[in-house]
Amino acid sequence: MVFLWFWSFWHWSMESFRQGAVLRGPLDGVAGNWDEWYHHEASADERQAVEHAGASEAAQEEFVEWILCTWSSEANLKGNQDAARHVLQQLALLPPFASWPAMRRVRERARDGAISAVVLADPHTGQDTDVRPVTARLLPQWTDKTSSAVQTEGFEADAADVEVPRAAAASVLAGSGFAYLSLLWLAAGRRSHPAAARYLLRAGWLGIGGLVAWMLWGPDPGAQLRWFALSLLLLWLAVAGFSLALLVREISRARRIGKTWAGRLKDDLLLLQMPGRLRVKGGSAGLAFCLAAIGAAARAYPAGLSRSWIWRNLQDRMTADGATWAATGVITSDGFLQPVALEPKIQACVAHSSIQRLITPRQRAASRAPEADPRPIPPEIVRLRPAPQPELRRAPAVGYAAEASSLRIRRCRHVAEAVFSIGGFASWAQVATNVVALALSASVIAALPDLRYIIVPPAAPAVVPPSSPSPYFLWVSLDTPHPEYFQVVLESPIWANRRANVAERNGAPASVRAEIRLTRVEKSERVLDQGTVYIERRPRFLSRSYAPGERVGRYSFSYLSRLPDE
Amino acid sequence: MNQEISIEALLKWRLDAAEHEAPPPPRASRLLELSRPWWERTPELFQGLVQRLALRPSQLAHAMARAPGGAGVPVPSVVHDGTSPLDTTSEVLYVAVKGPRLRLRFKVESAPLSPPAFWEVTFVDPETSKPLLSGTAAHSAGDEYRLEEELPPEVLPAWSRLRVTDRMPFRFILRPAAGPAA
Repeated sequence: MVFLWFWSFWHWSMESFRQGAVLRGPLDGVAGNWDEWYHHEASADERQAVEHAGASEAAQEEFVEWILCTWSSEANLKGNQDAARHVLQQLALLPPFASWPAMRRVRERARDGAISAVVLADPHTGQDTDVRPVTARLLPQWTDKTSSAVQTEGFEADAADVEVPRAAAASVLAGSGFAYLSLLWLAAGRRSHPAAARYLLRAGWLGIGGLVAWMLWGPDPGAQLRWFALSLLLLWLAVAGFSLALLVREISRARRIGKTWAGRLKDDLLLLQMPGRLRVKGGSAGLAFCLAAIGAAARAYPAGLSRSWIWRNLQDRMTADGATWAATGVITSDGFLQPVALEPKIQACVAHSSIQRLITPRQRAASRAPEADPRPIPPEIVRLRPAPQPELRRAPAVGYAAEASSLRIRRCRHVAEAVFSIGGFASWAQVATNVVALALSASVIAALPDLRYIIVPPAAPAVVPPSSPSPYFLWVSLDTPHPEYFQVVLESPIWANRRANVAERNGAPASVRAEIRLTRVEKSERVLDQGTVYIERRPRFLSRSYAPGERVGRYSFSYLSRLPDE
Repeated sequence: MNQEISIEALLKWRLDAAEHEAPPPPRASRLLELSRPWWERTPELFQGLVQRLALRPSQLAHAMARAPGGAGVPVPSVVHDGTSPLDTTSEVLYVAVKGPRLRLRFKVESAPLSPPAFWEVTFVDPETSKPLLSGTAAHSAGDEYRLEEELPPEVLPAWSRLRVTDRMPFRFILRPAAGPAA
């Protein structure tokens, strides 16, 4: 075995923890444990083997690969894929690894994609050094005891200020926050469908729109009406059903993996890292902690990530662009954001060379980004803080010229909105598609009875009493529950030809009937009850009635006038 | 350059010059004074710091409520850097007694922004307020400090059984130190 010394260290670390000699587990306390083992416990042979492992850059790379591939799979890390990276990054700060070039690269990658919190050293003035990258790691716990599940590194904070963001992250992954995120994504989120499916769906909605428009305002299809209705119904069922199936599949996958992550957030140790050696007062870094916790869960347990487009897309965007984002906001355990002191934080982000977007709570001062502050950093503030890196110190001198700030501010009510922004889910084209699809679906749903009775017409009704008690009216009462789909036509040589709609009449006596006012056009002495009454189908689609359909009944005037009037 | 001076003569000249420039050796009474621990040299200061430690039982209870089960019990500590004392707590991260020697790692909560490379750590008995031992802790990984010191025989049996999650039988007085003890 090449790196036997590392196993010696690891087992010493685990045994010391089991015996109660070290406070922290082998993973979260790996730096201190290594320091202790290397200085006091390692044998001369082991120290020599460590030196040998760092003898060349190739040997160092081999050690890094071995930790990431071999050791991580054999060390019972409970499926955690981020623990090995954590071990490497912690060891990279300590001798003898600190001088290894391979470990320098590990150190440089430690803050890749870290979203920054804005924690002010001076409550009144924001400076670029107040923008601090927050990294988080989920590490398996090595004890069943209910020890503190959130640890901080590089800063100190009250337990509530780090526990609440963890609860909010769990809510976004699997609780009410996830429901909110799902709604946002349904309403305005970019879709995960392949391009072909996307274009097919859009073409489908276009086709539905065309059919609806034709049936509402186009030429009367006449005999082809049934085929129009059938096409519209089938197309709508196919397109809406396909869309819905894709959405349900994506949300259920995201929920399943989110639920797993939320469980891990509850059971594992969350390690929050932020440079600055500050005692953080107040909870405005809570939003950044929450976002970092979500990213940590995705990195630590990526199994299934490939099946959830939402989480995969978020993770990819956080890795690629996370360093350009800063976030500030007091967060509640269910994910809502509360106002914070904002002006100096916006100043700090404007002064920072890397930050391009800032997430804030929805509050008045968050509506605009001020221009870069041309004032130099007051010397008393500089003295209080560690020396900034040279490029950061240079940035204000160059960037504070007359150029406008490029900082974009995203105001959010809930952390789900922040996730939505960072994931780059927002799509106006999708919003437009959704509006059209909803309007068309509402139309089709409202017209479903009309479509049904165009495709499968209701049974032909029979004429029933009552007849009209007045000699000036002809009543044609029908025994049908669908009066709106029938009409009555009187054709007579004596009386004016009339067409009347059938409707439900409430006046005594109540019945479903058509009422035809009788107007005599022939003054001869011929028999008055000459004439024929036809019952016709009346096809309709929403507000439009089409040309009369099939005649389904024929009654003589004399028969109808002799029916009882009660 | 004069080529006729020998190397031996040059070295003797340099040695004479160094002896001439060197400060006078300390007097025996001064050496005796320096060999005494600081709490004997400045008993008033020590008593003042011990009293600050003794007045902090409630902070211990608060810390216990914050970190239930599985975490260590914070050690009440006073940081004295020559100006005003600062009340704080320390978290013991590793404790082991190997033979007569104590090995300890700890972290100081609310540490100064620029923590010193070394702390002179005085272990104080919380019951008697007497100093138990003193040693120098060196800065280590992260914010941690490590200390290795020989234990006095009277505490050795009890401290040999210490677990890191136990309530520690000592409190700390921390003073910045220039370097490791000779």
